[in-house]
Amino acid sequence: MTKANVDLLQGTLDMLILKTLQLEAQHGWGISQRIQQMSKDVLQVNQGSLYPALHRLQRQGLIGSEWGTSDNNRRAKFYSLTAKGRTQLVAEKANWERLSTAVTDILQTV
Amino acid sequence: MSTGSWRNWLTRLRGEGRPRADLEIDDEVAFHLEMETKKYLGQGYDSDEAERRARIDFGAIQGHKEACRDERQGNQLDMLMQDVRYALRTLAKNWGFATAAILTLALGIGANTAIFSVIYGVLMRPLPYQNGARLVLLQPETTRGVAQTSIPELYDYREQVEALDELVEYHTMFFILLGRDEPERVQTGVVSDNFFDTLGVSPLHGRTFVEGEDALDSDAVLVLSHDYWQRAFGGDPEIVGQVFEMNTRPHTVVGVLPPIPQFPNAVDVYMPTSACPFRANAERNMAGNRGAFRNLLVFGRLAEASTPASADAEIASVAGRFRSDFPDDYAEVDYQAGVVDLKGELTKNARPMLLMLLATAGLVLLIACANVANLSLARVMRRDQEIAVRAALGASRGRLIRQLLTESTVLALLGGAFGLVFAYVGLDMLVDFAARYTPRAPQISIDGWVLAFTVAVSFGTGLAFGTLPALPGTRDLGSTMKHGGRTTAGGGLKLRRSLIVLQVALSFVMLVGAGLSLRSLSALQAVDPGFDTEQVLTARISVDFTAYNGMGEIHDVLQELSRVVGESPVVRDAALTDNPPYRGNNPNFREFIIDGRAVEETASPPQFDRTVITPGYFATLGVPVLAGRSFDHTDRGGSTPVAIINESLARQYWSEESPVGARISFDGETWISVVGVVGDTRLYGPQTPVMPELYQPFGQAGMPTWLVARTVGDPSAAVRAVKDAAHSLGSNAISDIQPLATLRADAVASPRLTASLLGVFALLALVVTLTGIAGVMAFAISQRTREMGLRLALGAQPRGILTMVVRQGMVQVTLGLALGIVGAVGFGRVLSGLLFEINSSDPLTFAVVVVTLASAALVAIIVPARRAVAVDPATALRSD
Repeated sequence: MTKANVDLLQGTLDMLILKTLQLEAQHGWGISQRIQQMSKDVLQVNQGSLYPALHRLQRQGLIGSEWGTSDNNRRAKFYSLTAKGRTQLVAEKANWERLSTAVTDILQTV
Repeated sequence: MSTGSWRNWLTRLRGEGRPRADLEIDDEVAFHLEMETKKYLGQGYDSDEAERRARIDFGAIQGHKEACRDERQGNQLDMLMQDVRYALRTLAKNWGFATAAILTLALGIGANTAIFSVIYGVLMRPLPYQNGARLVLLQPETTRGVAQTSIPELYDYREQVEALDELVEYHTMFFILLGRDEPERVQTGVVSDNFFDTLGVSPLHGRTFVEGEDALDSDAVLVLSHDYWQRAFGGDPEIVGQVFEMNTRPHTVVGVLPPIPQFPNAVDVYMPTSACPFRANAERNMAGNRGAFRNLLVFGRLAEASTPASADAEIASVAGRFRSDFPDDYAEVDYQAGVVDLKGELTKNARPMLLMLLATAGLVLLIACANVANLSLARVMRRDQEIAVRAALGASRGRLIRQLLTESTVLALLGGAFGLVFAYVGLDMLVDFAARYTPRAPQISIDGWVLAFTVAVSFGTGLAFGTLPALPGTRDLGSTMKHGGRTTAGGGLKLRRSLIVLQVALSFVMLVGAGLSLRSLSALQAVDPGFDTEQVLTARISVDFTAYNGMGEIHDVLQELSRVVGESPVVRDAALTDNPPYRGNNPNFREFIIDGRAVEETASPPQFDRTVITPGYFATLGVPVLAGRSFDHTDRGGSTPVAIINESLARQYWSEESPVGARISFDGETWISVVGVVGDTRLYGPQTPVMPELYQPFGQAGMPTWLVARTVGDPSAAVRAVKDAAHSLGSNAISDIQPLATLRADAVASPRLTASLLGVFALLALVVTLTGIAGVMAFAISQRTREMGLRLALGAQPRGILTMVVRQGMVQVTLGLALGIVGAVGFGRVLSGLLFEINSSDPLTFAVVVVTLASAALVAIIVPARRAVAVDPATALRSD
């Protein structure tokens, strides 16, 4: 696996995490479920990437965290978007759209 | 960082417990697994299976936690601590290597710390005067050299120069202070009333002088220097207000100075100009005399917005006006004036010496670095396999380099810590050394800046010797794995051999430096002074001028004093002189004419140095009378003027005939008969050549105020007797009592210290270099054990192999020597100003150093090389 690939996948996961947190705060497990759900089970989130990604985003100041109580009354760590994270999400979304359009264009060229 | 996370960090540092963030990850993971299990339960799995699936989905829990930790902010620190711990463990396991490296570095860093503390204290630290940076010194010059300022000139400068807002004067005198146990000679700084305010010095006790105290006829007051206050009064704070008698007037102590460097000399007490009888008389009677009391040193404080350059220009133009306004006063001397920065003036004597020492210490550190780099390279090469395995297990190249650098930095910091101890131990010696060159020496200490320097040097050192081994260590890991570490590690070895060349070259430079200064020192010590220095005591007599009526009485009391001392049972002979040996005074040349010889217009007239003595002088000092006679008591004021000349003067002007009986004159009116010739002496120290000397008897010229006494036994034991004899004659002080032998040793103390410092540094360098050579050889041979075995098995003679190995080793040594010779010629040039009668490229010194270094290196090579040929071929071939 080359470095470029890792970066791309990592970046994508980061964007998806930001997206799932756009509406409400969520814990790690919830995030993984959401991504799976929203992608109609196409994307399986590897836990080995998810938690490091959450710590990374937090270090970058894009998300914050706080211990709270889950739906079934369990103590869980909830992540939420920061203002910086919201801006970042908008930018990444635009970026992604440009990239995916470009890739699609290439693939559709006969 | 908040207190909590600090505690957290400390916890981690101690390696106890686990950080909170780790525990949080545990909780988070547990929650995730629980949710996941719940999900599988919901899908109908039994609880064991649901848990198992949840775990499988999650993957390697520990690995994920590590990954999280790596992403977390504190992670850099974590890795650093991990690296440091690993480094400490590795070093502890290789304590032999660690000890050698730390000691080598400690010597290198210690030497630099010590020298830097001196350089910082003397050259860099701001002056401890509040206005230190704004102070300048007025520097008048005439055709006769650096001059001083007269009272009218000072007043004119004060009035006309705008770039300086204060101009204050200073001169020194000695006076006799009465009121303590013995009459005491006190060196006195005579200053303007605003002298201390201008410098920006606040008193430690009491006050300094106030405005108006330098007006004629004001009450006499004194301010004590810190040193004198400690020495004479044991630091008694009640001293303020006490009254002592000086110059037949009461003087009240009004204050005590803090410990500050005193420029240009350390004095005991300060008084305002009004209290100095000579200065006050000159002021009363100067009446238009431009040269009145030309004794003043003038300090100035720069006005706001003016610079030393603008002050210099203004002073120069005012001095130019003096020349045009008073052409008669300045006609012959070409009077010029300017200003110099006070701080530069305080330290200019010390600067070249200190920079030379810093350069030397830097070389020692370079050699130490090269050596430790060499040692680490050897280790890295031996650790090739370990490093390859760690790389294979996933450590990144950057991480490995960082690990190696951490190791070298830890070593360097430990070396720095020990170096600090060495520096601290050696500092006193250096302070004494520096005190010979600058009044700022007492300000030298190991303080925050010096510590910062040590830490910076340690880090720099760690990086310097850590980078070299780190590079080949992480290169080409694949091949190392493949060969099972059995390669001959060519690249690293090449680097190590270049380091040896460098070390040999640097050591050579330092050994030559040390050799030159040692040769210079022994040349200095071998100089024959021309008089006995054993069992002779010299002392300064300070006559209380104000207590006697006229010069006649003073003459009598001096003669009497010399006689009384001479009659003491512990004294064999005693005499007086105005030109004591080794007391730091300079020759005083005078021109004369010889009776019966035409004075040629163009030739420069005969010149000599003059000394005034009493009859016992030559016997006391053991100077041989070569022709004619010595002085006796018939040579006195009123009798025929007589003189005795030394051999040099005789040879210079009476090469063919005998000078005894010749007549000479200073003025062409009074003729002096030469009655004897005595041996040459070097009164001004071994470095000053023999002067053409003329002696005149006391009574016919001058006023000798120095006592020389040949003692019966140990001269130090006679000090008391000499003092008592002197004090038996009224309120005269006797001071600076010292055996001539001590003064003689003192005269070469600075060259001796320079030579010992250079010698110690050079020896350090030599030892470090030799261990380096032996280390590299041993390593190179161990890498080639199989090859040696093979050669021996194929029939090579052990002798032949030994020669081969030695020849290979000597190649670097020879290269190093060649490089060193070039460097040493350059270094010698820097040193040449400090050398006495030795050429800076002295062939003998170079030859001895070449031979010494080459043979020492040969031994360092042969010892490990012999082991190479002693191997049993069978064992060697089987070795890995």
